Amino acid sequence: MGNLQDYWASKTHSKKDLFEAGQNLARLNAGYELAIVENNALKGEITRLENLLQLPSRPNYRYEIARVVSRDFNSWWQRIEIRKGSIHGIRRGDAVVFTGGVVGRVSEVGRSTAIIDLLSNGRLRMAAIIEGDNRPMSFRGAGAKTFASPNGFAEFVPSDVKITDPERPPRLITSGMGGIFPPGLHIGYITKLTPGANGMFNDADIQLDNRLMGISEVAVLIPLNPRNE
Amino acid sequence: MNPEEKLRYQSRIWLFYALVVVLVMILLSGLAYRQILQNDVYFERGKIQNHRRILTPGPRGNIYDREGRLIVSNKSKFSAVVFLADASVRRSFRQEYYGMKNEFQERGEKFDSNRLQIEARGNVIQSYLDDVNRMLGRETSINASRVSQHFNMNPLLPYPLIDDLNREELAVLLELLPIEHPIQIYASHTRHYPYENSAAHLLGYVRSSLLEPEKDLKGGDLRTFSTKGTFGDNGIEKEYDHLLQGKTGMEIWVVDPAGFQVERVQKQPPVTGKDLHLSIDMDLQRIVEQQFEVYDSKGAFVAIDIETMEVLAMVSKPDYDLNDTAPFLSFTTAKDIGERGAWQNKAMQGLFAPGSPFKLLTAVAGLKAGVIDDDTVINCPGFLRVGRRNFPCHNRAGHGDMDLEHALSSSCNVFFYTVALQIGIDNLSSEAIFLGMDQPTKIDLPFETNGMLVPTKQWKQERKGQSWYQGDTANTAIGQGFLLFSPLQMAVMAASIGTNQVLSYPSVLKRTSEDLDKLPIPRSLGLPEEDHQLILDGMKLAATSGSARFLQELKGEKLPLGGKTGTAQVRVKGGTLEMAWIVALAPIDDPKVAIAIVVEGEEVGASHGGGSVAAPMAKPFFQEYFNKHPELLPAVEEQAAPTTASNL
Amino acid sequence: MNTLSNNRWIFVSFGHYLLLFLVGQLNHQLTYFHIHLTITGLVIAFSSLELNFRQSFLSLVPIAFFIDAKSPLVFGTSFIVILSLSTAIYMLRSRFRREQARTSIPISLAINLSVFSAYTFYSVKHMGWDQINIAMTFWNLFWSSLVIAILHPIYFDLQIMMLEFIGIRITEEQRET
Repeated sequence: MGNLQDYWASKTHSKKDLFEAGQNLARLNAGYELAIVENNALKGEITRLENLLQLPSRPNYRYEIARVVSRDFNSWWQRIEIRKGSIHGIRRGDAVVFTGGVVGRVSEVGRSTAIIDLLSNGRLRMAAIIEGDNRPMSFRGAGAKTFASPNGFAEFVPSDVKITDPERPPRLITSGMGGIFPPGLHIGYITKLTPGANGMFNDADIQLDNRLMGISEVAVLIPLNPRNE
Repeated sequence: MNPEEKLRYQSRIWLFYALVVVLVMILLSGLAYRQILQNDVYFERGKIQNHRRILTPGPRGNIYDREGRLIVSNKSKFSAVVFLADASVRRSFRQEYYGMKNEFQERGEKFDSNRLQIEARGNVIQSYLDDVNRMLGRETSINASRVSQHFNMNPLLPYPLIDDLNREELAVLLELLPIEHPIQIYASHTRHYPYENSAAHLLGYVRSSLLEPEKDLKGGDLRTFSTKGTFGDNGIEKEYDHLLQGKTGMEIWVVDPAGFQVERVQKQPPVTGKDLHLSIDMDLQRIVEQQFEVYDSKGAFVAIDIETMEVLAMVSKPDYDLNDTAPFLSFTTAKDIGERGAWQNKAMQGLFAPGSPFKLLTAVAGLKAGVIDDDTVINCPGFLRVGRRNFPCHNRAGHGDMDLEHALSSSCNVFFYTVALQIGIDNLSSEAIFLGMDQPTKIDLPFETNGMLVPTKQWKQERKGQSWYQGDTANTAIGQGFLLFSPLQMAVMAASIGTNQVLSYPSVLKRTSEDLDKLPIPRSLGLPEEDHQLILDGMKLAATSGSARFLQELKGEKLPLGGKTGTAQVRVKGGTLEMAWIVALAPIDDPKVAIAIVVEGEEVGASHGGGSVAAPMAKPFFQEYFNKHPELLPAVEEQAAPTTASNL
Repeated sequence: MNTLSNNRWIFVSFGHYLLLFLVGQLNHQLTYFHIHLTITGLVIAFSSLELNFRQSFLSLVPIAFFIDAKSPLVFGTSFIVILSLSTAIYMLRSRFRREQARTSIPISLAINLSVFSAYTFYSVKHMGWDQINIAMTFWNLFWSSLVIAILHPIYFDLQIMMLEFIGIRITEEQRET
């Protein structure tokens, strides 16, 4: 009886109502499809962010993950802009890292954006060490000297540091002594050594991570106990 | 104007034109002369006026011991500096000066502009330094007068603000100091001695002095500014300064009319000097030094590799920490070292009566003169009457009948008095001179003493105005009297006697086979082999059961050593001091190493014998030497394998 | 209408901003190919060639500040460079047929070249020659010039169309003058 009632009730609907119902259904379907695409995109982003979050935990810092909204790399400077700023606790001078090591340092901070000088930027300088050594040297960005990868330049490289195997060149990492960058973060590989200015040290060309050229997410290291500069 | 006047007028015009042309030609030729012909001269003159040269010393080479251990190196030194001639710094100077000047003028006060300028510069540099102080948690301040003095005298050289940045401070400044900040990080180097006071006298030290650039370095005609370089002042650092010295680096800058740098036009980086590989073995060196330290003794020790005449160890105590001499030797340090008597390298500058080890030479002279042989026996009653004096033996009861072997082993004075009196002082002195004992050994180190003394009759007559007495001969025979030698000479003498050759030219540099080929072939000492063996047997007996037996007491183990102890007496105010000596050879059957050690007695009248004092101090040297050269130990006879319990 | 005409610089400036924003986004993607487009010359050329001095100046001021805010150079550097070039072009524009694309494209390219030179010299002065990759500068200059040459007629037409949309007929005004 109930089914019969439903049948006649449906039968009495006009064609217009049925069209509308069909259109609504199609709209819903389209909405769902869009939602599926969005879900997939979000899943991808979550995976990327999760990869990024595989950074080791550091007791003196907290990570502020940020999307790169603009990459500004040219032959004069190399900077990126992120969509996080002072309201997220980011301060000028903070270290910026990614899974591949150091990205650079925060050079300008807006309310909700910040500009980061990339490792290859000539205005960025930091203390670095050779992996397995503890003698600090000066690392400075050297721009994009070649089209292959971004470059850096190291001064005060002890003269006993040699490139014995070009396949496994000495690796430059952060020293942790300067107070800005935690120790052990990858900077780059020494590709060439030339006699330095005072004869006792060498200068070195550093090949940086090529992923820096297409970086899309970074983590800003915010010190839990802010330094007093 | 009639035609005549016109003609005259025209001719005047032409004359004027000609004059103008001539004048222009003169000007042009003058210009051409200067611009074309004299171009080089003016270019050079201009260059000299607006170019400046900055010299940077090249780091010195490293020094390694014979086993490749780094014993002298360069330590990097990082400083925070400011270049006072930098345009931005000078702008700040001006702004500060005018600011201060205005303040004075507003207050209507008088001021000394020179003083104000010094203060303004000081304020600016202090403000820069305050930035660094804040970063490093320091409280460094500057001396305004020095800043101004540096600005006026050496504008192109960096002015050091903090001279001793440690690694952490360097890292902090690298990360916190903006790149464009006037304060910059400057790296220099200073000498570093990781073994501190070890082999201090042998290695020597460096002093700071103005650089003397190589003649082929460009820009010799330019006004030159130079940071100080280092030069060897003693020891290896001095002797091989020409090798160790790095090649000076150079920068040529274009400067503005005020003398401040504008642009660098040429750069030649400094080059590190050559590395040196010494013959010294730091294990052996340290082990002997430790003996002197354990016994808190003064004295000297030399060990020589006989085959190559390389010095294996050279010790002189007291010594000093070489790191106290770098980066510069302060007056206080120099005074302290002087007061402790530590400047002298006693191993080659110290002169001592050789004592009984000289009996080896008396024996050589006696054998060569034919007054003794292996059958010679001399009775020792405990003294020998020479002239109107009794010359005692150290065994007052007498040794009884002594042959050469036992006389050397027991160090019997009477035996050697008798031999010397038989051959005479002329023969004895000649033998010492034949061995080169009257000359420096020609070791490759600076300031070797040439005050050694082998007395002769003529010498005594000339220097003392006295005749030579028999007693003088007796004293000489046992290494007393006028004799004076350095421990290095005694080691060389031991090596010569050990090999039956007259050896010289010891070296502290590791010798290559080419170096060895270039050495003069040593003369023979001239002893027949059996006579030579007699002396070696005597030394062996001494080291086994005689006066040098304390060389040997190694838990029953017997090392193949030969030695000759001695106790030289030196008259001082209030009595005599005893100098404990030992010279030794190892392995005695085929000597490879010769040593000489002297330990100074410091208590007047106290017994300080070579056998009891010097021999135990030399013992660890031989233990270590044979550890390193087990192939020199005599082969141990193979014993039957012990029967194990399971076989029972 | 008069108010709109007097404030045309706002619309032009907005167009400039839109162009710079889009090129900025393009640059973001082009970093993989080591290409960075600088098309400031196109922006300056439009304002200097198509507007009167006052309107040109006003339209470029916000753009200059925008570029200054985005670049690490001392604030005001781009402002001085852009307005100096704009003034220079304005002074010289009567000497050539600015309404023709074959004239205005080379002008845009020349202005862009000047901007490149100014930035390069500034960077050399502050960071030294060793920090500058000349090959890459030329590489970027090449691509920027190519993009300007392609975009120039489109951008000029779009801007003019947008102004016509609000009743400002620049072409007619120029003809009348």
